[in-house]
Amino acid sequence: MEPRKILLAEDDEMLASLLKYRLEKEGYAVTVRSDGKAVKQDISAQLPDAIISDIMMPYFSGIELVDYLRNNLKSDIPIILISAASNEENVISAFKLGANDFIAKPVSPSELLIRVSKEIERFYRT
Amino acid sequence: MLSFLKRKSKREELAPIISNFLFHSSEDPKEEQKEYVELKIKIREYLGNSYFKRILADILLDLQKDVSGGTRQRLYRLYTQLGLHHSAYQKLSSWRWTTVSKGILELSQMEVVDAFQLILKFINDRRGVVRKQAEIAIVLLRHDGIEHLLDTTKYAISEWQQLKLIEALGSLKNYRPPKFKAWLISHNNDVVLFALRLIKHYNQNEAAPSIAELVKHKNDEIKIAAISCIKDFNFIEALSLLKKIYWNCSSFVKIQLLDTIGHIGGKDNLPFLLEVEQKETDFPVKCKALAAMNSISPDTVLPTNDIVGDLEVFVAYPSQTNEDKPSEKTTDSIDKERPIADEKELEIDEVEVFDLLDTETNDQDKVETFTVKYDVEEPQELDFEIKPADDELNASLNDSLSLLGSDDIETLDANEKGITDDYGQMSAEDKNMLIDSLETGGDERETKLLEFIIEHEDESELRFRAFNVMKSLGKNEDDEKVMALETSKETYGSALALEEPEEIEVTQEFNETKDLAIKQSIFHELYHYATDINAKEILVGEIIEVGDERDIPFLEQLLETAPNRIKKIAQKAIVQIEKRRPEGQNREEDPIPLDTQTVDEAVENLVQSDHDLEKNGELPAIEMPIDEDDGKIPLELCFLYDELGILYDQEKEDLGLNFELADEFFRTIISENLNDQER
Repeated sequence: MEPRKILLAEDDEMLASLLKYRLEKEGYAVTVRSDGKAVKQDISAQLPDAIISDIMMPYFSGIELVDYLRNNLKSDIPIILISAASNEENVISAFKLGANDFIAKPVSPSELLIRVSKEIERFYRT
Repeated sequence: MLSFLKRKSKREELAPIISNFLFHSSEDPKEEQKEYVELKIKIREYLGNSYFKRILADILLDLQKDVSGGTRQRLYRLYTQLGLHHSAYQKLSSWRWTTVSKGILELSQMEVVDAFQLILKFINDRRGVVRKQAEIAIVLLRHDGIEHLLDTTKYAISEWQQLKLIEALGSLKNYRPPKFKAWLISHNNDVVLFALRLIKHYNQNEAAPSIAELVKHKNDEIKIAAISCIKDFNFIEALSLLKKIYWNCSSFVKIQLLDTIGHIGGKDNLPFLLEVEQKETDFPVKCKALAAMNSISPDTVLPTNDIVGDLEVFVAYPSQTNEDKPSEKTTDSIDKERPIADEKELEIDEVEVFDLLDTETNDQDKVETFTVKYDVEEPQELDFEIKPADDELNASLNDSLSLLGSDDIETLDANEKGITDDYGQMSAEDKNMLIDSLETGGDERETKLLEFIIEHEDESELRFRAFNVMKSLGKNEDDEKVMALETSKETYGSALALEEPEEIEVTQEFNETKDLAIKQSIFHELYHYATDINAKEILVGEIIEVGDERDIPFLEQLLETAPNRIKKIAQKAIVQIEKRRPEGQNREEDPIPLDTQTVDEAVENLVQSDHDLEKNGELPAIEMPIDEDDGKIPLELCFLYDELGILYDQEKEDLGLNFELADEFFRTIISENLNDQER
């Protein structure tokens, strides 16, 4: 069985590396992108099985990414947002636009793993 | 740039190694176990390099901010396992305050508990940044850190630092705060303040006695913090102490005290607050006292400033029946007192009671106790208008209410006397206000007062205004008759029957006609709208140039009522208007009688001629009654006059007859005339 492909959009290299290591260890194929523009290009070319994205990224924010994915690409793939700015406005707008989940920084990699697997399982089961 | 790139590449190289260390598990596959051991050997080789150690420490410091849970704890362990904390210890011994500060920060962030004692030394460091960093580190490293800090610190703890420390305490897991009242006895005022803040933050309300003692502290900040605690913890027992210390406090503390009393105090504190309002000279403190009163008992003090149409009650207390109550509780004193809600109700009740009395004793026409006054003018001084309730005033109003409840005529007579006495004691401004109020809202109950003003007032303008008010009140018929009789008595003398209603009607009609004549002048209204005497003077001056005969009644009225300066101009205007009249037209031809003198003369002439005819026994030359429709003499009267031998008035012969004669009559007349001519 092919591993699930996850696109990790995070501009903090150390955190991205840590999360990538943890996700790969769990059996996912992780692609890391450090800015929104690259993420947009990637998903326009080929959609992953799930996206984990920081909200505050250069060029293209996580919120815009959700909007692009849901309204332009008409895709329903799971998308989990991460942000240090876990204010109510961010969370509400993320969910309104169609994000599947939201995790505030600092991130617990173990918690993230569980959430990702849950979303993927739910999406592909249906 | 090179250093940055080198550093970046090193970080990229180290990142997976650190991830491997962090997520390594003994249950991992053999390959991974092998890889982990290789990396451990490799990294031990690198650790000899301080540059590598610094980069490694930076990576771990960055990561600990972004990860949480078990990963963070593993990261802290890794930090100490790699011996990176030794580098941080070395930083503490640096002479640079920035380096020391960085060392303390690193140790506290990586939760190196062993560094606690080392960092504690910096609590009383003379360098502020180091000291503050040490304070936070102490609090973060151990749960009892705050106790050590409060015990040992000698320096001030700024409010910002206090907040940072409280935030640090909040980040501790399973933290059980100590009883901070223990530090209320500290010699460091900032420690006391911080302890008070912590007591409030952790709701440690068992410290009431200590907090109450602190309101006696010399330091205002501590006082205010203690008062704030008393307010927050609702220490009602401390209220008496607060009131006791009140008069020795600064204004700022007083405001806090009053605020606390307002929040936790009961109605038994109202007298104290009233006393504060009356004795305090500081405006904000007075305001706070009033606000506290309203906080304890809502709507105790009501706003009065800029309230249009404020209902005021003019109370005239007869001195005989109200000896124990000060008679100064009149309009004037009520104006000065701030109304309170209960008094407002009383005012309305009193007016209603008065109405009842008035109905009952209308025939006697003796009730003259209240004058309802509608104050429509804005106060000249913008003082703060809210004042506290005055028990004395309340009591006196209540007494006055019960006084009015009796129908004792003697009391009512005394009331009348009270009114006149009070009026006599009024200042000119108050008199003006009283007349204003009577003009606005007076009714027939004020008749006696108005009569008194008309008779006894020295100021002619006030007399005239009172007279106008009396006229406009629409008095009852009896009053009008009396007035008309008095007028006619003065005007026509005893020859006219005083009680004949026709005469009264004539006088009334005359007065109305006179008013109409005065109002014909376009200057009349303008004159009354003029704000001051100079404006009035200029206005009357204009009549000289542009006035005509319609302005003469108004000018004549001015001659009677206006100040001397205006009188002179009015006199001049009358002369000029008279000069401008066309020749042959005189005052008597005016369509409307100009003044009472003209009519007086006419009536006197008429009466005199009647008397003369009676004396001589002669029949008067009767003016022929003329049919009002066509101005001709009726046929029957012609026969009657012929029979009685009454002669026609020669001047009226051309009036003609109002009946038609047959053609035969004219033919007979013509034939007779022809016969006469032939003869």
